[in-house]
Amino acid sequence: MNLQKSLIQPCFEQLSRRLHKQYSLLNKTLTASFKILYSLPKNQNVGSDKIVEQMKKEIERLSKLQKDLNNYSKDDQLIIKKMQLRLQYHLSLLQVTQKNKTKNEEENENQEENKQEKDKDKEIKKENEIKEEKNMDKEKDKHIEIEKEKYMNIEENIDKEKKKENGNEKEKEKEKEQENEKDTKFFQDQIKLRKLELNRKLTEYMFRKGYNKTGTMLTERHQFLKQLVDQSLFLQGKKVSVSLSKHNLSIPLKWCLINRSKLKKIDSRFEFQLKKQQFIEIMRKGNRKEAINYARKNFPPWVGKCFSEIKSVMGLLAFPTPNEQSSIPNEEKEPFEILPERYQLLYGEHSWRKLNELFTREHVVLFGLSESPSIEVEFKAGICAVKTASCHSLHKKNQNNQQKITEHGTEKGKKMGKKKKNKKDSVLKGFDLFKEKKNINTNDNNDVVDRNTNCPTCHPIVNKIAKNYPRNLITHSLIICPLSGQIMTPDNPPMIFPNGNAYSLDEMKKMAEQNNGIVTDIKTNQKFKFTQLRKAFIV
Amino acid sequence: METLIEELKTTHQKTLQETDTQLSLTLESLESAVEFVSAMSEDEEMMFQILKEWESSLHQEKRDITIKKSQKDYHRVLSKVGKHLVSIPSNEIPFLTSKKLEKELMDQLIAEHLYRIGDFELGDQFLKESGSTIPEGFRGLMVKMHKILGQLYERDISSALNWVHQTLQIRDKDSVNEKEVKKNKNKKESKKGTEIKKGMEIKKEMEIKKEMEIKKKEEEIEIEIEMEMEIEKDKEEKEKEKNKIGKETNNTQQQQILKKTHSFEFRLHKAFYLNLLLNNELKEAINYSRKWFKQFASTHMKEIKQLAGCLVYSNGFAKRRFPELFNGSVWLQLHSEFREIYCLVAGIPSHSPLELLCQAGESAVSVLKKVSGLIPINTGDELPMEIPVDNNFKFHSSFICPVSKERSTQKNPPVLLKCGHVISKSSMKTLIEGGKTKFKCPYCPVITNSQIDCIEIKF
Repeated sequence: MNLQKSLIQPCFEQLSRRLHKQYSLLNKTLTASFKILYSLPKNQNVGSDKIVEQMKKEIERLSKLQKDLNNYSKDDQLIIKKMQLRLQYHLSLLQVTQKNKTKNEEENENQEENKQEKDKDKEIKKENEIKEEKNMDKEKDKHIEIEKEKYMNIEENIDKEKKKENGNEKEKEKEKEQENEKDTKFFQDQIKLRKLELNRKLTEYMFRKGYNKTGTMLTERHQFLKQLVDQSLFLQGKKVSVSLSKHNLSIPLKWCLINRSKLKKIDSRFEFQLKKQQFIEIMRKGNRKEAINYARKNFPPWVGKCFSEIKSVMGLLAFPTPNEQSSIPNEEKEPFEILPERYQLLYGEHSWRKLNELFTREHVVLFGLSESPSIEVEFKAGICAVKTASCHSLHKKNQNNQQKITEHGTEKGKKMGKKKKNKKDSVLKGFDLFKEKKNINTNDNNDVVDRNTNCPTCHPIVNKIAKNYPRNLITHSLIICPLSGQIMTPDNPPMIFPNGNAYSLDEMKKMAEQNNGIVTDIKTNQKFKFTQLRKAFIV
Repeated sequence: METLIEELKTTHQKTLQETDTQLSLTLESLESAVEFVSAMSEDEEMMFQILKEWESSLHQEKRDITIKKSQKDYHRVLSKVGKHLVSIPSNEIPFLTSKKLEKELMDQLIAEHLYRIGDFELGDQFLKESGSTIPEGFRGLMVKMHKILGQLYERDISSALNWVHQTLQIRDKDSVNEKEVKKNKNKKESKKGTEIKKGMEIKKEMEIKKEMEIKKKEEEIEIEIEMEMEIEKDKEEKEKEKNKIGKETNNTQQQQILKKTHSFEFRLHKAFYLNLLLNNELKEAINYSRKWFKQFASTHMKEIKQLAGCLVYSNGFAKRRFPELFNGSVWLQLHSEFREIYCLVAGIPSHSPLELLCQAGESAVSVLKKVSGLIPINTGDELPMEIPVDNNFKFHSSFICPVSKERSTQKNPPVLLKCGHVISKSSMKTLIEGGKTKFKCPYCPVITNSQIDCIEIKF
């Protein structure tokens, strides 16, 4: 549902703005021309030639209006089509995620049945295997289709170019119909949809951060991207942000005027921030009178919301401006340095940067998009879902070891000094107690080091980001065999070695078959008999 | 929403048509009036009469008002859409908003992702524009991988074979080196042990002297020194553990890599052999199999038998008997397998972490949104609720004690009881409270002896 908003609201905003323009144009011309037309018969003294002239003028005007409106509405229709396409895309994405949810639920139910009834287990297993094979075949077919379509797409593109050169309208219409059919088929293909979604997010990220060339390259490589990403929106925003970086306030103020009513709805203070900056610029030049007048005009409507900020800005009047000389004689410091820090900040680059950031945020929120790029939001949500405690243990373990050593050196002496009764017993007991106390002192980060190169959160860059986000709550045990990488199930339970290491039953069986009933613990290279292994039942 | 947009479309078309027709009608009447007037230019009275009539007809028709009405209809539907959109809540999840240092890291991740897909042009352009850098060597790795993949798409296994042989050679050398390194380490540890022993002896002599002098202080000093010895023992243990764990992970990884490359090589040969069969080059297929299949006899005998059996069928009957071997799926499996192994050998994840996490995040976002509205989420340790996640996204083992619902750690490991059930060590301790040694398993009535029958498990 949220994606719907960010996809469709920009189109809606576009349409409504166009409607306003269109309507005002229409209103003006219609009222003006009809006025003249109604007044014609009343001017009896005017000659017939002039009347004819006027009528012809009105003909021209009205026909021009007709043309303009037609052109306008063609573009409007394109935008409405875009809206429909985006809605279709969104609905098909929803279907995909819902399908996956139902699949997972079915799988969970199957697992519960297995636990309860043993005889039916095997039957269900077989069915699942058959289902999985079918799915595998389907996926394989899809892969084959993808390969084929790669070549097909190249051919299609060549065909399209040829057709453009011909330029017949009927052919174009036919193409559009075919494309519509293709759209629906395309959107039903899960893998393609997923890829498209990822690419859409990437292009949005590019345009948001200002990497326009890469963004345009991406849109050229993939179908539908141009219609799914609002390139023009971000380019418009860039104009304003460029002028802000050049310390020019006229364009942003215009933008504020245009969007005033909508900014009010969001309860934004961007306009006030712009005026505050204008005040600062006037002060920088040294015109206190002008500054006071400006403040009198522009600040009162904002007193309710931003009074504290107004106060702090007006405080600038009390201090010398950067260009003025200090009134205190024999002052060694420059006038600017007398100012306390917060006032220096106001004069500096920092306030312009803040303005820029505020603008980029508000500009995007006006059109219904989220403040941060959607790829970042989903990526971090994914971190929260996938991250486990052992993802960080490698790094934190080293830290904790160091801490331990220092803690030992400082704390042990004090604690042990108190216990003097029985040397050996006290020492041992104290040591045990101290060990247990260690549990309380140190965090839960002394986790098992369980390395998996495929885990995305263990990737060094992702790890850095992931430190600031919580991990997922785990309510059920999940054990993965270090050899096969598969999740252990009640049918493939962990087999525990006498030294404590665990591997799955299937792997141990294989190993035993190949080595006359002897299994080796890979981690320690110790050898045991298969019969020495003990089955573990994980609830 | 769908219906709204459909309605919008239809009203837009209606208004367009309305305005168009109305305007054209006015234009028509205007033009006809112009004709009349110009014809009647001499007779002014007639002209004005015609004009008056025309004006009254215009008033009656009220074309301008109908145009404005139709535009307002369209405006009404559009505002409906707008209201509906406003009613949808916003996308924001407060604790997931971007922080300062994340921009560079995100850029790096995206660049890696683009290189993994194989789009080097785009990746380079992106790095230029964003001004970020990625770790050296990654690009080169991906370029190689895609070269070999490209050849595999065209059913050419030569470069893949080369790569396989290279990695096997390197791994053999590594394993030899490791054995030497192990021997050296053992020697070093034994040296340390003797040094520490000597130090301990010297210290003991000192202790005895001091003991003779003062008794209270002696005890304290003894204890301190013993603690120091134990500190050093601890240090040794930790270093050993580090080395062990490093060795353990290295060992398991090495074993995995060797196994997987071995079976991957077999599948390369198998695919090539099947290709030869497809093209009915039986003799060459036989020679090829004789050359290459020997080394895999111990591990892949069943498959070799099947492949040999294919020779018996002639002229395409093999395709009917073994459709899965000849439909191209073998090659597809090779592609994905190659990716996995290449990345495993290089030590990088086999799928783009960006892609995986975004996939996982799709369903997580809605859950997080719901909950963040109800409970404040700390960015500290753990979420207050569980985000349901597919098994594809589970990469680490985690054991939850069924009794205490706590996650097991190194200090609180899971313990295997006599009956095969597993509980955490802390829950076992609560069951032994009061100095008992035997206790009942919470799940079955089997009695376990805590000191004999229990093993701590390392998952």
